[in-house]
Amino acid sequence: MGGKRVSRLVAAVFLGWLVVAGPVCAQTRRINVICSVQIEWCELVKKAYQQATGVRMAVIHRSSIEALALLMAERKNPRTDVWFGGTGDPHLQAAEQGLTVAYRSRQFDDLQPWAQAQAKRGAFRTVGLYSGALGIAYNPEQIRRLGVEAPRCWRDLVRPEFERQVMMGNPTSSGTGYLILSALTQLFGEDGAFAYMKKLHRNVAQYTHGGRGSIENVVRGEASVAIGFMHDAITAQERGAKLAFTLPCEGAPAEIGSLSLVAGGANAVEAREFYEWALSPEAQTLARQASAFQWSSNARVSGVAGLPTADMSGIIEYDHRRFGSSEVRKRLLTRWVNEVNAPGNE
Amino acid sequence: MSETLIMREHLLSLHFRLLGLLAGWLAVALPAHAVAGLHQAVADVTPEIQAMFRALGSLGEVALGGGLLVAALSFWPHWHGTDRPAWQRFAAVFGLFGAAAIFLAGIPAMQRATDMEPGVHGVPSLLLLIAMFVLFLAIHRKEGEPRHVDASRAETGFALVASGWIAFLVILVAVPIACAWSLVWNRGGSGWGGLFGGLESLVSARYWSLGCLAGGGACGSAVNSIVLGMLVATLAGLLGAALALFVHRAGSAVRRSVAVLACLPMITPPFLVGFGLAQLFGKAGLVSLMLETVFGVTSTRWFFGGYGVAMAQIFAFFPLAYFMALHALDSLGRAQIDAAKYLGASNADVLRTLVFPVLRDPLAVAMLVIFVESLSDVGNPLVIGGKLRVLPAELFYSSSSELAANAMTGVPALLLVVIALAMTALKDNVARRPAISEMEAPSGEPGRCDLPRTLSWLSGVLLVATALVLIGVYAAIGVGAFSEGGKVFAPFTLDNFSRGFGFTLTAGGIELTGSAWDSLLASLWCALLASLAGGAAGMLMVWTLGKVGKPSARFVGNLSSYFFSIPSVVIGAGFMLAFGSLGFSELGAWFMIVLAILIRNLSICLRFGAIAMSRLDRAQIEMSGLLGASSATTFLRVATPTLRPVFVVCVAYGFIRSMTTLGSVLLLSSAENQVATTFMIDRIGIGEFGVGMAYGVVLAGCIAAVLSGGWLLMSAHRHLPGWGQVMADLKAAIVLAEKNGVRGVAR
Amino acid sequence: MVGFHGVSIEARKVSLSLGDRRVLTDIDLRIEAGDFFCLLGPSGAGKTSFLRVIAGLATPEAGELLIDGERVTARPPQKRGVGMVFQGLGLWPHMTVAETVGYGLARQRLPDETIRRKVGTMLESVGLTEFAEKYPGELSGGQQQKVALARALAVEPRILLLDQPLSALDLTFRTQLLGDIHALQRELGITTVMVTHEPEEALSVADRVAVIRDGAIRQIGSPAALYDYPADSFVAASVGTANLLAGKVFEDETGQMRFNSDATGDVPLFERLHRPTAGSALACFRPTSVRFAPYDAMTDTSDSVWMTGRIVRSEFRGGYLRYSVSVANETVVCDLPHRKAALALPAGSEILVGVETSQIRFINV
Repeated sequence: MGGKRVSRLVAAVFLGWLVVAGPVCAQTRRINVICSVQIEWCELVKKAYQQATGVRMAVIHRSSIEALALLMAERKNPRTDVWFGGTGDPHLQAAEQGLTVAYRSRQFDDLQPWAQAQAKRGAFRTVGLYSGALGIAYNPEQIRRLGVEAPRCWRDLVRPEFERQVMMGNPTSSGTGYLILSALTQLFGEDGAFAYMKKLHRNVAQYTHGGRGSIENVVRGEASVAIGFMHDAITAQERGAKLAFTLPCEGAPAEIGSLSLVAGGANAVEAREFYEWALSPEAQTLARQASAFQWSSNARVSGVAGLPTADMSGIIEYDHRRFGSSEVRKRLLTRWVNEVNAPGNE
Repeated sequence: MSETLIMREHLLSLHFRLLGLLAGWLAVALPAHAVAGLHQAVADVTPEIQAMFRALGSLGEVALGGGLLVAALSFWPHWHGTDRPAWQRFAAVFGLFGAAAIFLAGIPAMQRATDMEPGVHGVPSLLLLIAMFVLFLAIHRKEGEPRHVDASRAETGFALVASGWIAFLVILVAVPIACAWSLVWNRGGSGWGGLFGGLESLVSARYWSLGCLAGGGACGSAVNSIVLGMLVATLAGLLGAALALFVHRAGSAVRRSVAVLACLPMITPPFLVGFGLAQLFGKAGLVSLMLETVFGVTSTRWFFGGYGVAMAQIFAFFPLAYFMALHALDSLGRAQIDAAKYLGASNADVLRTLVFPVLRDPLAVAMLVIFVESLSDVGNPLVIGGKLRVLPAELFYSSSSELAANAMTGVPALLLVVIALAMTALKDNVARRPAISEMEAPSGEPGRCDLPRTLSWLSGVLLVATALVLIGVYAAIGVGAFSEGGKVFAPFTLDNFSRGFGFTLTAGGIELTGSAWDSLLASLWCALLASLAGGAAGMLMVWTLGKVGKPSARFVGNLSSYFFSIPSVVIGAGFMLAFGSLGFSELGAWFMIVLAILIRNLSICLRFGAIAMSRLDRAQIEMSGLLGASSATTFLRVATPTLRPVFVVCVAYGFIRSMTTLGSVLLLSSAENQVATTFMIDRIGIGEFGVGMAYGVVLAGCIAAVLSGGWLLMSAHRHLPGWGQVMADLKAAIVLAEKNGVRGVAR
Repeated sequence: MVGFHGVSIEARKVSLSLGDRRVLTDIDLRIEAGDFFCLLGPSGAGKTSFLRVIAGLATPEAGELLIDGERVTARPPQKRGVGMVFQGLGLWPHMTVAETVGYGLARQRLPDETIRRKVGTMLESVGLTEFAEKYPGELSGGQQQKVALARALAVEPRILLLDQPLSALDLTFRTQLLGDIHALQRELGITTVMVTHEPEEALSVADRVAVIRDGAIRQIGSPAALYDYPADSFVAASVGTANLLAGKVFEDETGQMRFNSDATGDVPLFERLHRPTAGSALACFRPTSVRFAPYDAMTDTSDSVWMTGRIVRSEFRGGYLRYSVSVANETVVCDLPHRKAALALPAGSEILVGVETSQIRFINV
């Protein structure tokens, strides 16, 4: 009998705690963020912002394309307030579809020209947050073991020696992947780019879920070459990984990571506050702490010693508007799915 | 009278029903589709005609719904009497399926084509729902049974619950799938063009190419899925059988330790097994590195792709085959084996003539179940699949990008459903073989059959190898959780845990700073709710079906079983497509997730319910009724104590499955709606292996903790099932119930 | 039928232990060729164990077993030529009746035609020809027993062992099946050992019966011998209802052996054979040896014992009435024939119960 009473008591206490905890949780101010940059940066932002303002932040990590799909699905009843980071094209698409609201930051004039250009492209529904160059990262030891020269150009990657050694993001789910696709289209023309991708397909070991995973796999030794962002490569190098990075000789694209306010979000006031905070120099310096070495959009942030500055040499002129439109995206992606990642191509 | 009985039985037989479903769909949805297409075709010409067609469409639906309602009302037993001519019943059944078909196919298609608000379609939909309720009520009466004193109220109540169940199935399972299907038909437009385009995409080379077999190419994703499934099912079945043969003869210590080992893959998500295997056999894996340093064999990426996924699925799913085979072997009585030996059978003869035939059917059922599980596994292809294209992964990739709104999503979903249903039908056929399951279990001690030397050695070796691999996998995960970056030889660190599950002690109490707490707590909540709801639903439904007429019960039981065998990815995708656009509040979104998890568990909850019901003593129930208790009181006071032990086991099993499910929730997660498995796979996907592994450790620990906590809480009560009873119930539900198919539901 | 011939079975001082429990102690018996032999006793007495020793499924730790004069103690079951019907039947649910019956023949690698012929003959002799293609799960209990029987006999064994073959059946089927088994045994002439705990079964078909208790044989003999001349009270009760009145046997001044108990009074003993010795003894007589007389009647005590008693209860059993009569603190069971339309004697009435002295067996305790 005593045992029965004890268990009833425990159950009552448990239920009571739940009942009390629920409403208590609901009282605090909240903000829901989709974060499309690397995880450490996201977590750091969450911690820092919660500490700085006391606003409770719920963060979900999604690659930029998945984030766009999520926003599209949530259109009628958005559960997100801010979209933080992720490559620029999906942000432009979201702007085009009216999923985000226009807002001009107080710090707009402090931003780098490319960040401002991004905002104008998106009718101020988005703004540049960071930028990063896309190139080839490789493991020098593995390359030596394969007995090939280090890859320096795009066309090196389709050499037969690199069979199943290349990793890149899946264009249908990763913004990085789509950036590769669109950059190649600008470099070689659409048919040229697809011919190239078909050849590259044989050398691809895996199309990773998100862009950063490809570099991680190279670091672990699962593959030799990854197509990824310079800042991700630098992050890995900082951790002591044996990784080399080069901008391809034919030209490399740079992404403009963006920041957008979601239309119809529940916490609009907190969202705007967060937006301003994210563009401030203090917040953008946080990225370094998280080993995120993108070029910051706030010009007042000093460059990191020893790293190339955001002067965009070797970066191709990327037509963000064209490749950010949903029509072109759909066409390119459908073509990629049907022609490149298809049984007929292997 | 008897002729109509026979006709009725025939009508409600399974094949006829499936044919009726198909015929109903074709006959009703095609014209509906054509109507929608027509108005699209003339849309550009005159907006007035467009509006007219739209109105016609809606009017047609209203008319259909209303007409069905009237027809159904005419079958109401109180008005019509007991004898109904056969053609009316035929019409009722056909109308039921036609109505369901138009509801399933027509409405989502029209919605997409015309982008109309759901409200306009609400009225005919409501009418259709009511029509289905009433039709069910009309056909629920038992033939020739004397009515009990309290019958009319109780009967109606039960019939209402049963029809509510059908409505539940239709709305929550059929509609989402229909939405996915309708994407196929709407590819590149609507109307006839869309229909043919859809049919074309169904058989495209993308899914059915046989290039890999011809050499120098790759196969389509459907081919990959089917071949993978068959391979995994066969090998896992054989592995389970071999282990069971060995353990069957061994002592109880071996039996218990193998049982623990076999339970391990059940309490971790399947992709974690795959990931652990990658830690061992991947290019940078432990075993590969060892081989490289010791033997100089260069490590390659052989693992990532078909081989790895197959290995992972075999190790994740073999316990089912193992338990079923062991149960079959244990059912061999000593007398049977003695009799055979007596008549001159050598050990090999005993194996060939007695053991293998007894093993054949349970293993066949297990293999078919494993096939469907392999088909629905979306985690392993994502994590270790390499470039392997399989249907669930295709479905996921297309649903998660904005390519979602086209056939890329519809076709994999449709193919998955068709293949899964075909396999389930096959499984039901096998499980239904009468002769063997009718015989009483032999009394006396179980017999032990001796194995010939080679087989004994082989199974022993397999057992050791399996144990080593499983221990290796979980050790790698355990070690990786505590290492930097998840690498095995990296320095020890608690960083992975602190990032995910860190907490600080502040003035106000414990503050949870880790990023994973939200998803873990969410998982626990959802799993708890889903398993409790599932257990209750299972018991309630089987109880209700027992009270409703036998043909109807069988019909509902079959329907439920088929619906619930649909792969969880499809249900997740369907939910997202069908209800995602409706726009839900946060609570609504959680509700959807719990429902998606619940649906995955419902089939086995129904079976647990069947077992629980079979334990009930009819005499007790009838006595209670005779002494004046209402049905509800009888259920609460008389039935519940007997049901409680099985309910506990059902909830525990449902809890485990809910915590480890991935497919159903993968597409439904968003900012606040993350569960443990989606968080884990997310981290692993972006390369945060250490955190993913730490989460795996925590997840397994949580499941164990909750189960033992629940045990302690319940041990104060008298009706706690003993350990032996728990294992017996679990085995019965998984093993016997799978074997009995849906017959057990309609007892 | 060709192929059957009876052989003798002999057990010499057979002892068996299972674990650390002694199951059989010094079993000594001989079963003649062609005999129908029954082992009778309560559960746990060791009957099945002894059967398994004969079958070769259990090896005795002491003693010898001879079949047809040969020592077979160490021989494996397959080589003893013994056919056994197990208590659980051990039918295989996935084989048809024909396959089951032909199993042993198939193991002997006989040609298919021979197997078919023999199986057909066997099924005919047990009356199951039309069930040849059915599965055991589709048969009734009695039919399943026959299948097990046919399976055992199909390989033409020298000995047939039956382990409680009727325990799972209803009463009507039991009598029927027992009769069938008896007839079959008579026809085939095969040595049969049957284990049972029902005395009616053993008495009705056996040539000789052995009563076993706690692993030891209490008495072996023909059914009549056991019934009329039980060696002790246990055997007496095992083979049927027995009245056992406790008393003393003593020798009086004239050298005449007498038996005295409260119920019976003084009874002179005249039997030459089976004469009890002085000391405590039981007067054992069967309910059917009893007759009633009105309590105040004049009775002839020269060859009968008359006891005064009071009727406690009467049970109507169709052909006879079973009265429980209280005699001097003991209960005497009396079976009297029932005549149509006769009424039972009322409970509580006083009655004289008479037994012929020749019908009483005096057993020493």
